[in-house]
Amino acid sequence: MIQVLISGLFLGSVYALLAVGLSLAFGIMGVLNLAHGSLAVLAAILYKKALFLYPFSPWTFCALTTPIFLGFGFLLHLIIVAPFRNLSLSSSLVASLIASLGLALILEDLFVWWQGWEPISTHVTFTTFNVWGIKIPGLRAILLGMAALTIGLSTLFLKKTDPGRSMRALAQDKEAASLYGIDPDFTSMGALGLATILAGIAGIFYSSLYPLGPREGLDLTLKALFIVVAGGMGNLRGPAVAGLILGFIESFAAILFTYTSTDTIVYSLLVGYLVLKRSGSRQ
Amino acid sequence: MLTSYAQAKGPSRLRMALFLGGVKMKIYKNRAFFLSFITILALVTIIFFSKPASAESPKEIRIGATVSMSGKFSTEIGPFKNLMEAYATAINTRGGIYVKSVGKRIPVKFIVYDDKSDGPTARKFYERLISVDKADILLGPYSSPVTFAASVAAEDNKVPFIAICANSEKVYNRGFKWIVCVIDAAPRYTHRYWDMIKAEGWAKTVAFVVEDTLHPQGVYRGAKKLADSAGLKEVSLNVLPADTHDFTAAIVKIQKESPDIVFVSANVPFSIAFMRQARELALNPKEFHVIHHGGVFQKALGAGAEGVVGQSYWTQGMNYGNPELFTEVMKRSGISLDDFPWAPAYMMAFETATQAIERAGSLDRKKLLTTLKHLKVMTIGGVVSFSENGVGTINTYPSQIINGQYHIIWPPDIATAKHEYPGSKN
Amino acid sequence: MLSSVIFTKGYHGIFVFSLIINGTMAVSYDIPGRSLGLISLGHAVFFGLGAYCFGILVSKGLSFFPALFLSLVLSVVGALIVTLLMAGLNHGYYSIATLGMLIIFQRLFETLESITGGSAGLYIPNSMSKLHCNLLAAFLLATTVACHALFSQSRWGIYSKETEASEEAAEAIGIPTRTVKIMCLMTAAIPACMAGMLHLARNSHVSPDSGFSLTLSITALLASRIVPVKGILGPLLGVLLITAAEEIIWTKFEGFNHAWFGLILLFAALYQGIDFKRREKISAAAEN
Repeated sequence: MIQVLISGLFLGSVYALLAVGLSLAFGIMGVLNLAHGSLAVLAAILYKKALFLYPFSPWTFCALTTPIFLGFGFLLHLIIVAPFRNLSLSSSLVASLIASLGLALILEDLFVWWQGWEPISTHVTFTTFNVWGIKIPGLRAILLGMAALTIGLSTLFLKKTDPGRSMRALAQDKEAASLYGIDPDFTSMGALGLATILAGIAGIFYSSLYPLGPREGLDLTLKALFIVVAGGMGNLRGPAVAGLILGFIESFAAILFTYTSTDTIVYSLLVGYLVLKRSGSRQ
Repeated sequence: MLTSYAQAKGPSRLRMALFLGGVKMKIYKNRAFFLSFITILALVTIIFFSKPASAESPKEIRIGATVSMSGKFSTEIGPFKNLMEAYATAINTRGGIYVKSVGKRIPVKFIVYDDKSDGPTARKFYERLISVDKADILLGPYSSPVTFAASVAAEDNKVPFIAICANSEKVYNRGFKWIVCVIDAAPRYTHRYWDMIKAEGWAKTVAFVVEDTLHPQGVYRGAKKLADSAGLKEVSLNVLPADTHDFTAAIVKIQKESPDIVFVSANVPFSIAFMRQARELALNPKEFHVIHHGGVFQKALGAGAEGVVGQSYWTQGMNYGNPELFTEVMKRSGISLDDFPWAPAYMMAFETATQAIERAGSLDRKKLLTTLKHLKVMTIGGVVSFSENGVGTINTYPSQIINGQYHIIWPPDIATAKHEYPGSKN
Repeated sequence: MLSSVIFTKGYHGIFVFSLIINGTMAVSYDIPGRSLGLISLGHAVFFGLGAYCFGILVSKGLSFFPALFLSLVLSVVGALIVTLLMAGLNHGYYSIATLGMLIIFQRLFETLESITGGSAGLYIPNSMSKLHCNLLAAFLLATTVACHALFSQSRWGIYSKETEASEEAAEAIGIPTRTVKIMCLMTAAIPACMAGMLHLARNSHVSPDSGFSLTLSITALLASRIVPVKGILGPLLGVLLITAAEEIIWTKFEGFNHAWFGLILLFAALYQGIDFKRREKISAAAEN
């Protein structure tokens, strides 16, 4: 039972990382970025290619590629946010959804052309520790720590720094934030940059544990979307907690029910939660 | 603003401005409509008035197929259009295929579409291959679910259809007359492995881990019976969804039973994720058998893949059929056998189609089908022939990863290395 | 060539049938999409429900028309249950919940192998001629277009617009917003269920992946919004554009098919942004 609990924690940390970046984009800019998972796949490919040159650890590579992904985030802003900022809420949501879907499809083909058809799986060896009969795989434990650190640092950034506070203000009320002198374009660009960095880190961690197909970006995004909506948009803590809970549910559902019904159970719980929590809230 | 303008400029100017503004608005509203309409008209014209292929005099033999270049099967089969084109080039440099009714050799052309790993899309493209491209013979898509849908087109239009990587019995139990398959049905997929285990006699118990999709389930059902016939007892069964990420519960359950063999019936991504976690949680049976353990599996696991037994259609050193041609085709296509272990099955399908056309002496569909049904042809994987319902005879061989290389380990007459198992070196 | 354009057999017959079915899905999607501003990612739930109800009844021995009517009743009941669950949600939550429903149905129908055939799906022999299928499908599209027009003109259409603008305000003036949503969503669901039935009758096969298909849902969404023309013409032109573009790309282009299609989507979305700015400038100029 405890082994399953620990495994659920490790799995949940990967989901949490995937979801928090998307939460920022959705919450602050109202953008459903369907290319979020594709950015994770891009990071995985970059990591795989880099391993041919030097045996980087996942955390070292994350640190090195942070500025690159910040740049990708700015570029993404120009494509899926900036052109639609003056449209109504519903129209901008649809337009950015279509634009990000288009971008995700373009990236899929580029990934296949660049790295081939095979799944991306990076081979990183690490010891498994035995603590009172419970096996703790070293790599997963470190990645859990890294995920917690990343989310913690990002939360601190949002709470304690001026750019972070500007992002939160923008998420609350765009017009009021503008009146206070916050540049919505620049701030949302920064938010998308941060979201892209988080997607990149998630992709590097994910490919260290599970094989990732070059065309799986959309599947990753959809899973992250669920977690974001269940945990709440525009903040990091909610989706992080929701991701962990999803990891636990997936691990435990397999021993309480059958594995085959796990997906049905997980999604039924999520949808049930949404229906109960959001009905009547007019959100 | 409008009032002050009128006051400044007079009512006629205002009316003019409103009129112009209104006309401009109309133009822009209509512009979107107009542009869309013209684009659509152009596209529809291209689709409907593109000239279909002429079927009158066979200047080339058209073999139609779809390949999953996108969607969930693309990691297994994505670049196989290159394989088909490489085979066509190899055959055409040798003059093509001899067709007796025409009295000469005719070049081969593959017409290939991307079925997106989706049944209805495959079905639509097979209809296109038949009615627009006038394919003489069809090769099936990858996977049983997609073949299940696609073969309906061949049956409806009475065109010979050679299925390749689709060994679920459901595909062949519908009473279809125009479908054959080069490989044997899924339940017999691992029969040579169990023959070997029975002959060696060291294993007594087996635990099964099964991906809950058509092909792995079919393989498991057969493997269970074969293991039973070999004298093994099933001590654990774990059926998991295809996108399972956490296998802890299953691994802990298996560890309690301490089986001699852990048999993983699953596709490659599932197998990688399972094996990785099995090694982390120190699941150590005497042997792991992973039915699909190709190069991607090995690269992902590194030393963790060492000693794993799986199933292969072909390795270097096997001497059935024309292995030199196969090697040439693989080299020309740029596909690595380790990364795409289904390539030999496709090669066998190409050889079968070629022989069927040569022996029929005609591109007449009925003659081709009759020839296919009675065909017995030597291919790189052994003899291909078909049963009444179309199921073929090709089966995989157990192969083991030994020092990073794949070796066929049974039967002894074609094995390229000895099976390594606990006690084998004594 | 012209005879196959009149849609009986062959590839062109299938293409035109797909066009009509996609058109039905797009127009039915547009009913709540435009009126209520709801973005559904699970419109294919109704399609799959219709296809499977029909398929299960036919495989149990019912003939075509009795199976069609009974499956319509059953799938509408199923659609009503789904709609009642979703009706309380808005915006992003609605989108995600509909996506969740789609996945739940996919997994459920994969699991219930004895009834649904599992992941291989259901195969039924041809129960109707291709010509009749296509004609029925064309009739369904015409009916759906008529429903769309009637709904928009009716008081329910007006109530929907008021609900979209502000649900609180609509409630305050006595509009039963929940009933309005249910009416709107059911008006969209019924044609989708029927489209699923006809799809199975024509193609003989449905699986959880193809019945409860996210691609189908997204195609309906894209077709409904990609051409910036209001009214019924928008989704009709959109479906023509998307279906035709897909066919051209996947049959005439060698490689990078997804990238080409993605470029079309990107340009279509960017055009909407640019077009909006132009219209803003024109209205500002007109006012001045």
